[in-house]
Amino acid sequence: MNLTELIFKYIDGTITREEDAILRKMIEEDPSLKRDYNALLNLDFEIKNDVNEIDYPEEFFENVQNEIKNKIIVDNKRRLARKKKSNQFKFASVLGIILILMFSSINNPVHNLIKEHKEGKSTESINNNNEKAPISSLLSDNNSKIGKKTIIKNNQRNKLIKTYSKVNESAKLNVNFRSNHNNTIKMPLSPNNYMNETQFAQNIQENNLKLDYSFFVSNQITKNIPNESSNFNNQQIKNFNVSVLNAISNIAKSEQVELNSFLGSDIAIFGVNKSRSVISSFTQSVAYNLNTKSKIGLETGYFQIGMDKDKYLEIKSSSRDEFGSSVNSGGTEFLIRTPGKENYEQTIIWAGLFYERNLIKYNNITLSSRLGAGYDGNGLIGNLKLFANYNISNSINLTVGGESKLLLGKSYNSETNGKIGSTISLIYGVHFEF
Amino acid sequence: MKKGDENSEQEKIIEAAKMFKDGDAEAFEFLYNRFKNMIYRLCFKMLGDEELAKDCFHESFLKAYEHRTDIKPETFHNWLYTIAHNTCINYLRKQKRQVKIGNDDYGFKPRGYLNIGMKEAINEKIQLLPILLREALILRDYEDLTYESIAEILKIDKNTALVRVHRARLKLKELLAPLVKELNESN
Repeated sequence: MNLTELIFKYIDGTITREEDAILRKMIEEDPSLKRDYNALLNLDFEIKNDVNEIDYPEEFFENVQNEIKNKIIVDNKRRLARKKKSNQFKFASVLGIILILMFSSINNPVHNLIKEHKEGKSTESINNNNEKAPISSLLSDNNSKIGKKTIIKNNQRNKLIKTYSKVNESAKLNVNFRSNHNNTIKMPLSPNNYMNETQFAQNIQENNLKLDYSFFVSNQITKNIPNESSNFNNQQIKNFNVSVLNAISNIAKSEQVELNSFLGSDIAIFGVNKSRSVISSFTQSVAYNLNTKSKIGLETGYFQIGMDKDKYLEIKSSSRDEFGSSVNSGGTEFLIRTPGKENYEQTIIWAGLFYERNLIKYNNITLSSRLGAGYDGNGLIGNLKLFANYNISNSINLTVGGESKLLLGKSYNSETNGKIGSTISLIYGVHFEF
Repeated sequence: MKKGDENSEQEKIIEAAKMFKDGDAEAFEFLYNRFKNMIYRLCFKMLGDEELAKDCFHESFLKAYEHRTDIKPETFHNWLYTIAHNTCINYLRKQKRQVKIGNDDYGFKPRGYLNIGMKEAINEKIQLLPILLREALILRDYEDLTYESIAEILKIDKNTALVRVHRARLKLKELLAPLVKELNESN
């Protein structure tokens, strides 16, 4: 080990006792080594002293501190505002979903009737066991094929009474029905008499039926008083059932319309500097079923861009910009331009058309693709979605998948950050059928 | 500073760094006041010019704020030094001061030292050191950082950091030799 290494160990405070002894011996034996030793120690001493003799620009320090603190405070305010906005959006979404669920549940009894009938399911009466529904009994006596019974709970009773009345009246059956049950109505359904859509349309035309949702909220009164002693022939009963099912089928036809809501979080953004940037999106669409596999619709939504945008900050009390040039503000003060960043936010609204096709169906899960094109105010926007629908109830599906969006307009364009070319997002949402 | 005080100070820094990461203005103030002198010293010694040092200092703290989400609280001061060091390097490049990064640009132009003190001479000669040696020397001898910290900041291994510091000291000694000789003779 040479002298220099030992001196450095000594300066760094890592020298051992043995090495220290060697160092001292070497210095004592050779005067030139002693000079080197002294020179290095003096140098170290001067440097250590120099640290304490630097003049620190306290005023400048304070200016910088105040500037950055103010920036932090402003940024925090912006962040809180953004968070508040996001919470409002979440609240509105939840509220919307709840309202739609409520709306959906209002129609559930009818949908249940349709579905159960279509699927040939039977629901046992929960009526008082001692009572027999007159209609059911009557029909059973005259038509052995009619055995399906569906129970409607008390709170939906009035609606169905209206339904019966309307159908009865429209079908011009000279039959009076009566429900003498306080809590339930039994509704006889015959799968054999269920009409297909063509027959239904014909029937609607012939009978001048105009049944729609207003049907349920009309003020029509159940004016037809039942008469248990009435006699029915098979044809009359069939007609009645057909009419009832026509009414229900008409309602079923409204299931052609679907409503979708998607929330999106970006996975990748192409075309811009993605430094701390984020894109969130919301899409709402209405679809019309062309057939069991295909649908078309109208889609509208927005996406929010949040990112750091390059900006030159102007700071006083200095004399050079980043290129070394002096910048005079025109007065006695100098300004410096230094690269910095500011938060940037933009909301882009767009609308377009789409075509959707179901690709695979497995149990309650359907895999679908959707191809759309639209306009966002600056240019064309295209998107391709691939998502899975999980059926959780008669009219509600949960949706999750991916979306690729291509932005051809100036959706976001900055000299420093560039233009967003395309995005890939995770999408999730709810899908309603009406 | 006692060991216990050091630990307590370190804990405060870690806590403040965590809060600063979440955008806390008071935490920033604490850290700023704790490190402003060190960062300024680093900038000043690296650039050798007060105005440039101010610019570099200012930009370093702005960058620290902008990139606060990258903070690792346990090694906050190394992280801050890394930002300041990188900013200094950028400044040296931008200023085109004809200081090449490497070991070949080492040069010594003798001049009279009769009216120059040792302190001024050291400051002047440090600027003549190659950047790789200069930064290592400043971090070790001015900032009193460990070789482990220097290695982390400069992204080199510990032995390389040690070698660079030693080489820088020898070069500086060599550069100051004429002055030392004159001072010795005058004494």
